Amino acid sequence: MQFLSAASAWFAAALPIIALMYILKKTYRDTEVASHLLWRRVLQEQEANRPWQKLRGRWLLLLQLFAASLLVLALMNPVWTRPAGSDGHAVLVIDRSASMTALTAQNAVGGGGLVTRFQLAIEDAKQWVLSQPKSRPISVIATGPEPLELASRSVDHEAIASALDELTPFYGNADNTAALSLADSLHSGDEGGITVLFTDGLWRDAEEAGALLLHAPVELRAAGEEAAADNGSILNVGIRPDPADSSLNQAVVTVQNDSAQKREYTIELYAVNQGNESELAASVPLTVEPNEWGSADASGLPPAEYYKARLLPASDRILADNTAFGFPAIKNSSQVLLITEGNLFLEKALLLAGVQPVKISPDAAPPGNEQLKEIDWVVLDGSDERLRTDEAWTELLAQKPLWQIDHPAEGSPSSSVPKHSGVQTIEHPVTAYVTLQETHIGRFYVPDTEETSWGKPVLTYGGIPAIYAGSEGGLPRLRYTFKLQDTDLPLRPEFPVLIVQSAEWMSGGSLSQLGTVTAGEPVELPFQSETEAAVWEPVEWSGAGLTLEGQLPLPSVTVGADRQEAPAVPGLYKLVERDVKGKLLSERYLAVMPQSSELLTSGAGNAELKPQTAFPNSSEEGSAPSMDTPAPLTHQSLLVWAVLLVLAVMLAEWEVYRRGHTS
Amino acid sequence: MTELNLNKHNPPAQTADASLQQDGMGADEALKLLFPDMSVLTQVERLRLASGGRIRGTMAGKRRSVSLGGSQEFADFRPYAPGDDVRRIDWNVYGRTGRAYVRQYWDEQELHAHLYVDASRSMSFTGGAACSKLQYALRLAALIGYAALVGEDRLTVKAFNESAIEIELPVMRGRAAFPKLIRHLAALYAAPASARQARDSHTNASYAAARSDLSAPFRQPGALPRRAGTAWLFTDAMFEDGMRESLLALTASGQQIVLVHLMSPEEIDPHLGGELKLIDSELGTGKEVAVSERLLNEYRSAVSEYQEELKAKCAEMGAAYAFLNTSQPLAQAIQTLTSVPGVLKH
Repeated sequence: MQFLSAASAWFAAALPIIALMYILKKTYRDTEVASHLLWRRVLQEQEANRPWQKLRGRWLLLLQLFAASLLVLALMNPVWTRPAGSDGHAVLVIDRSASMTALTAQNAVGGGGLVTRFQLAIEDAKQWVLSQPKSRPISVIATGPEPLELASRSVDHEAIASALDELTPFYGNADNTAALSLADSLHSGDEGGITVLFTDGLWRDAEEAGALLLHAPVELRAAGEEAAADNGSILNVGIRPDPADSSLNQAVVTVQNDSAQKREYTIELYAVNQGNESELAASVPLTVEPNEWGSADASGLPPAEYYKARLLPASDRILADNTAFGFPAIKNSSQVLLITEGNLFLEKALLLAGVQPVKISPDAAPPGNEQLKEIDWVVLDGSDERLRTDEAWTELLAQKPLWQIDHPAEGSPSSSVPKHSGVQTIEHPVTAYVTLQETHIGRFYVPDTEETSWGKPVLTYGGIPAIYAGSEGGLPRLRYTFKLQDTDLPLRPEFPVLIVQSAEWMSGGSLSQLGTVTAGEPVELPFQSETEAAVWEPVEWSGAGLTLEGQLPLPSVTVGADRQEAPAVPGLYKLVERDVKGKLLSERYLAVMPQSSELLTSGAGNAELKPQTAFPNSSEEGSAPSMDTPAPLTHQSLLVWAVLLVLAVMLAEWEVYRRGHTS
Repeated sequence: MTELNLNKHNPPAQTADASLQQDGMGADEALKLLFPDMSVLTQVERLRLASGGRIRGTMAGKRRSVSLGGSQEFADFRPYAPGDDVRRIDWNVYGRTGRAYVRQYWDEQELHAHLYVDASRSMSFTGGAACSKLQYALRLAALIGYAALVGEDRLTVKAFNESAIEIELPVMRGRAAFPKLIRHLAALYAAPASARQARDSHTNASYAAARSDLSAPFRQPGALPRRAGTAWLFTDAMFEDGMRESLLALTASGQQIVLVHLMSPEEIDPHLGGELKLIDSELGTGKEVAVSERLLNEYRSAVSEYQEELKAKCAEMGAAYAFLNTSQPLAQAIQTLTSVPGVLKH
C-alpha cells in the first residue's frame, strides 16, 4: 500500500489533541468511601501514570481516535498497488518510425534469419493482442506524421491482429509524442487502463515525449535486442556537369557512418537512361570515421536520365538508406536567339544567367536550320507584329519556346497606363524573389485573352498583368507586357534575378526532375498548364524490402493543389502528367529518401525514451518504466474503503454512546 | 436458662439509667429494633465465650481460674508447708503415708468480657447491606453480650471513634442486665445520625491528622481493661496505623483478643464505574480515579491481601480473627464465629 499524499500525515497531529482533551476533562463524580485505606494500596501504582490511566478502557475515545486516524489515512490517499490492468482498456502504440526497419537477429522464432524490428514488434503485438481476454477492449495507434488510429476499443482481437499485419514502416518525420499523447487521452475517465508501447526506444522526440505527464501506466515492449549501431547511409547524391567535359557529369555522394567503428564503403553509381537501361558508371571507395560523414566524387559519368548510388557493403542494419538517386542538373549553357533591335541590359543579363545569346535583328532573315538546332529558345524583344507577317519567322517562333517582350506603343488602344504602382505576384518560379517594389513601369501592352490563353499572369503591376508564364504544346512560354527600356527595372538589383529565373523557366525549369524529398513530406509540384491528370508511378523501391511496401497505395495527385503528398516508401517515382485528351505531357522523377534523423539505430546522441506517468512507480518515486520492466503497476485507490470504515466506526461509536459505555 | 422472656424478668425501669429513661425506649422496643428475628438469641444462648484460660477476676464466678482457690474442683496435692491451712490437709493420705499433703482446688472466677465497638465514621457505611457496619457491629455485640451475660460473665461495652472512647456502658453481669445492654445498644443503633453529627464537629477538627490511627483511642486513660479477660474488637479495620499497637496494648493488659473484621459487600466487591473522586469519610481527602475493571480486580485482591495481613497480625499476638460480611444474616455470622477456634464454644 502506498500513499499519494504523504504530507497529509501531518493531520495526524490532531490525534494527540483529542487524547489530550480527554485527559484534561475534569468531571469527577464525588463518591464517598469508608476509607482510602484499601484504595490507596491500589492507586499507588495508578497515580504514578495517571494521565494514561484515564485513557484506559475508553471505548468512545478509542473509537474517536480510530475514526480520526482513518480520516487522516483517507486524506493521505492510500492506494493499493497491483499489476496494471489485466482487463482494462489497453491502448497499443506501434512505433513504425524508420529506425524500426533495422534488421535484428530473430532469436525467438529460430532460424537465425534477419528480420526487421518492425516485423518483430508487429508479431509481438499480435501475440499480445491474441493472448488478452476476449472481452478486453483494445485500441491500436500507429505513429506517423499524425497518429493513426487502427482500432478503437475493439473487442474483435482477430480483426486487430489482421489490421496490425497491414502496417508498414513510416520513413518520414513521425510525431511519436502525439501518438503517445493520444494513446493516453484514450484512457481518460477509465481506471485500470494501460498503454503498451511497441518500440525500439529510439525516438527523435524522446525528450519531448518524456516531458509528457501520462495518466495511464505505460508498458514498454522492446522490439528486437539492443544492438550496436552499425549503419551507413547515403545522405545526398549531387550531380553536376563535369568541369573537364561538359557533356559528362560528376557525382558527389555524401555518406554518414553511424557505427562506432571506422568503415570502408564502396559506392556504386549507376547511370540509368530512358527505358531503365542501367549501367555501372563508377565505383568509388570511401572511408568514413565513426559517427562522421564523408563524401566521394565520381567524375566522368555518362549523361543519363538519373543516377542511382548504392552503398556497399549492403549488410548494415537499415536497408532503406543504402540507395539514393541523383538527377543531372539542368544544362544552363543553352544558346538562345535574341531578336532585338538592341538591348544591352537584357543581353548582359542573359549572359549572367549562363545563356549564350545569339543576337539577330528583326529585319534579318531567320537563321538556317543548322543554326536553329543549336538554339534552345527565342527571346523576342518587340517587333512581334512585324515578324508574324513573315512566314519563316512565324514557323520558327512556333517551333521554339518563346519569350516575348512587348513594346506597347503610346496612344495605342491596346496599351494601358497603370493607375498605381502596386505589384502583385503569384507563386511561380519566374517571380520567386522578385517584388518590383519602387520600380516604375510607364506603359503596358494589354493582350487579348486569346493571345495569352497558354498561360497565366504571374505578376501584375497596378492591376495590369505584367508577366505571363505558361507553356504551349509542351514548350515553355513567357511574355513581358512592358518595354524594358521604358522602365527603370534594368537598373534595379532585381533585374538579373528576374532574368535568371525567366531563363531557367525558358530552359524548361518546369520540366526538370522533381528532386529528392523526405518520405511522406508534402511536396510542391509545378504542373504543366495543360495538365489535367497526374499519377505517381513507382520506378524503384528502396525500402526495407517488405512485401507489403510494394502493395502500399501511392498517394493520389490533385492537379492545381499547392502541395502534394510524397510517396511514403523510399525509392524512385515518376510523376506522369496527361492533358485532357490523355496525351502524355511529361514524366518527371522524384526520389524519396527516408528521414535521416529517424534512422539512428542506437540511442547514441538521442535521449532515452522515458515516459513519465502521473503516479509514482512502486520501485522509486517518479521513476519511468525502463525497457526491461514489462509489467508496470497500477494503483487502486483505497479511499472508498477508508471512508466506509470511518462510517462503520461512527456507527459503532454511536452504539457505544447510546449505551453509555465509558469503560 | 433457655427461656427468653426478658420483659417479664427485667422491667426497664429497674435497669435503665437516667439518659435511657429520657429516650423512652423500652427494652421491648430495643429488642425489636436490634433483633427483628429473635431466633438468633436462642442460638446464642447455648454459647459461651471462650476464655482461653486467662481468668483472673475479682469475684467468684463460673469460670475456672488459672489460680488455685476455693472451689469444689480438685486440682492437686502438695506437701504441707508451715503456714498452710491445716484444714486442707488430706488426712486419708496422711494416714496411708504418714506425710502431710495439702489438697489444692481450682479457684473459680468470673470472666471479664470487654466488647469494643468501632463507631468511627467509616463504620456508618451501609455499602449494599441492610444496615450499616456500625449497626451490624452493635447487633453482633448485643448477641455476644447476651452470650456473656447468660454465661455469668462480667461484661463491659465500649464504643470508640477515631480519637477516643466515646461511650462506655457500665459493667453488667448476669442475665438480668441484658435489657439494660440492649437498650444502650439500641440507643446507639437508633441514633446514628445525631451521633454522626456530634462526631462531625469532632472529626472535622481531626482531619488535620492525615492518617487514621486505631491506637489513639486506646491510648486514652481508662481505655484498656484493668483485669485480664477477653476483649472483642468489632471494627472495619479502616485504620492506617495503630492496629498492631492496639492489639499489643490489649494483649499486654491480659486480654484474649477476638478481632471481628466487618466489611460491607460494597467494600469487598465495589460496583463503581467512570471517573470518580473517592472521598475518604474519615480524612475528608479526595482521590481522583478512573475506575476500570482492571482496577477493581486490583482492589479485590488488595482486600483479600489486607485480610491475610490482619490474620497474620492476629496470629502473631495469639488473637483470634474473624472476617464478616455485613450482608450475612446474624445467625450465619454466629456460625462463622463459632467455627473460629478460641472464640465461642458450646
